[in-house]
Amino acid sequence: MTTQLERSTAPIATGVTMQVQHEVEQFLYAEAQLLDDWRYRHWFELMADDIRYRAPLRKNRLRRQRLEDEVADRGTEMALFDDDKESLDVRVMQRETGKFWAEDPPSRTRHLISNVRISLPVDSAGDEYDVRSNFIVYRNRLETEVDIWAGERFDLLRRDGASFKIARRTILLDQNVVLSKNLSVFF
Amino acid sequence: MAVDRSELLAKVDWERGEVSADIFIDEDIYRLELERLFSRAWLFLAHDTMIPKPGDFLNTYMGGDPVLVARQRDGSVKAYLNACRHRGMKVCRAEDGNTKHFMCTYHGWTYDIAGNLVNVPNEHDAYHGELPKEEFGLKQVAQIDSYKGLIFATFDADAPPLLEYLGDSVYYIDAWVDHVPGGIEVLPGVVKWTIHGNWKIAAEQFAGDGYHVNVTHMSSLAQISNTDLYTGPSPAGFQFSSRLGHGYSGIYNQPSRFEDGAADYRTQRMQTAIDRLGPERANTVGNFTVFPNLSGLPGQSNLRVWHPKGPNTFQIWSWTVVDRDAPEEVKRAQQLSSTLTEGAAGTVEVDDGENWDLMGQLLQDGYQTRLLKWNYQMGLGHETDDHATLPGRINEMYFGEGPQRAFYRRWLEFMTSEKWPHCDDFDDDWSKKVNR
Repeated sequence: MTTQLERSTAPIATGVTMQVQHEVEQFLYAEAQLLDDWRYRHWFELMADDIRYRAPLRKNRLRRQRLEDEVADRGTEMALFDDDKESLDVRVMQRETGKFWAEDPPSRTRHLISNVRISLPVDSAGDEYDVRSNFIVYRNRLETEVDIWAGERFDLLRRDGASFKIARRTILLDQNVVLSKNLSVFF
Repeated sequence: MAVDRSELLAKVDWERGEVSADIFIDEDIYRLELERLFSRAWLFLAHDTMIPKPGDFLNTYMGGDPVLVARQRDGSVKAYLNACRHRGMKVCRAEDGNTKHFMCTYHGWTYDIAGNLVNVPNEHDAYHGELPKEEFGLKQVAQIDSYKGLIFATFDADAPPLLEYLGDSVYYIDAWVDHVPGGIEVLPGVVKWTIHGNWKIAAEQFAGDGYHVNVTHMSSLAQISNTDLYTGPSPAGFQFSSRLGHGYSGIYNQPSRFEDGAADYRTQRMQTAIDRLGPERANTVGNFTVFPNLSGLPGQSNLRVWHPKGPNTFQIWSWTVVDRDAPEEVKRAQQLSSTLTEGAAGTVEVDDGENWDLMGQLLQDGYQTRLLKWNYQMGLGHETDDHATLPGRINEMYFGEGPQRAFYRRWLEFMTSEKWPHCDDFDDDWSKKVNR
C-alpha cells in the first residue's frame, strides 16, 4: 500500500480540480485566521468527530536507520501532540478557563500556510482529500518573546456541506529539540 | 578560582531558608557547577529498556558534555565522551540506534562500541605504524552502575558507589521502579524542549514544590483531576528530604493525578504495590528529584533529566514510564495521557515553561533582581529526622520547602569542596528503620 507521503509526492494530475484547490486553500486560510483571532472554540468546531491530531517527534537518525515514513503511526512512541476530539476539547477548554497563564495574556500568532498540495485518498468515496501544506507559525508574546516554528501538515479533509471538516492532521514540526519554552499554540 | 568559597556560603543560607537569585544566572558559578557538580555527581544516563540489545546506543549529556551510552555484547553498558580523541569532533551524531562502531566524520578515526580506537586511516604510512591506539580510546566515564534498571555514571573516580550515593532515596525510588514484580519500561520517544532559565529551578521544583501546583496549573488540573485536592489546605501527604540532596513529595491515597485510560489499571495494581511497599509509598502520587538533575512524577509515569546548557538555558528530556507487564492498551492509554499533560505541549507543563522562562529573563536583564534573596522558609523547623517508619528528614505535609533546602545544602557542599564532598553526618543505618 502506498503511503500518504508517496501518493502526494506524485506529479500533478491527481484529478483535483482548480475549484477544489481553491476551496481547500480558502478553508485552510480561514482556519488559520480562527487561530490567530483566538477563536479556539470555533476552530475546534472544524474538527471531525474522529479527528486524530498528532505531532510525532522528529529524530536524528543515521540514514540507514531513519524512519521511511515519518507520518505513519508509531504505536506507543511519545509525541508532541496525540489528541482525539475529547483531548483536543480539553486543550480548548483550558484556554477558556481564564487561568491559563501560559496564554493569558494571550500570545500574538500568525499562521502562514503555503505549498498546498491535494490528492485523493486511495479508498475515497470522493468526499475526502489528502492535503499537504507547509506552515510558518510566528509567536510574539508579552514584551519581546519570539518563537518561529516551521513545518508541514498532512491533513485529511472531509466535505461538510459547503465547507470541510478536518478528519486527521499530522504535524511535522521541523525541530528535534523543541527550541521554545512550550508549545501552547495549535498548528 | 573565579568564585570564592565565602561568596558562595553567603549566597546560600539553607539554614535560614534564603538563597541568592545570583546562583541562578552567574556565569562563573555555572562554570564551577560543570566542574564540581556535574563532573562529580552520579548522573542518570538511561533506563535498561532504552538500549536492550547489544550495539544499541543513545546520545545524552553529562552536564554540558555529550556522552554515548552503549549496550555491550556481554550485556553490560559502557558510557564515554562523544568526542574524538584526534580533534574532539562528535563521533556519533545520531540520537540513538544500533551499531558496531562509530566513525568520526572529520578524519575517520573509528571506535568500537566499547569505545576502543580500532581503525585510523593512514595508520601505517602517515603515522608510520607508531600510533598507540590503545591509549586513544574514547574517554570513558570513571564509574558506571545501575539500580533496578536505572543506569547512572560519574566522571569522578573518587565518588562513592552508586548505592551509597542514592542513600535513603532508594527507599522511595523502589516505589517508582519496583512497585510491581515485572518492573518498569520506558516508552520509545524522548520529548525534548528548551527553557531559557536555570536548571536548578526545575530540579528544586520537582524535589519539593507541591505548593505551586494549585496556582500554576489551575487551568489544567482543575478541569481534569480531583480538583478538591488542589484547592484549600495542603493535601495530606509527606515530604522526604535526604541529607544527600534528594527529595520527594507525595500526596496520600491517590494512585495518580488523572482519571485517564490507564486509571483502572493503576487502581487494580494498587494492592500488589501496597503488599510490596506499604501504603505510604504505594498509594501516593508525587514528584521527586534525585540529586542533582534526575526528576519525575512517579504516580504519573514520568522520568526526566534537566540538561544544563548555560547559566540561563536548559533542556528538558522527558520519558514516559509504564509497567513492563501492563497490557498493551494500558501502555497506549498512558502514552496518550502523558502526551496530553506532559511534554512541550502538555496542558500541565506549558505553564511551568511560562514561569521558568520569564524568571530567567528577569535575571538576565536585571541587576536588582539578582540581588534578591529568594525565600525558602516554608515548614522550616517543622521537620523530623526521627519519623517512625520513613527514612530521611520528613515533613508530614505535602506543602513545604525542606527538600529544596536539602538540595541547596548539598549543592553548596559540592560547590565549595575541593574533592568529593563526603557527608560525615549521613546516617548509613537508615535501612534498619525500614527492616530492609
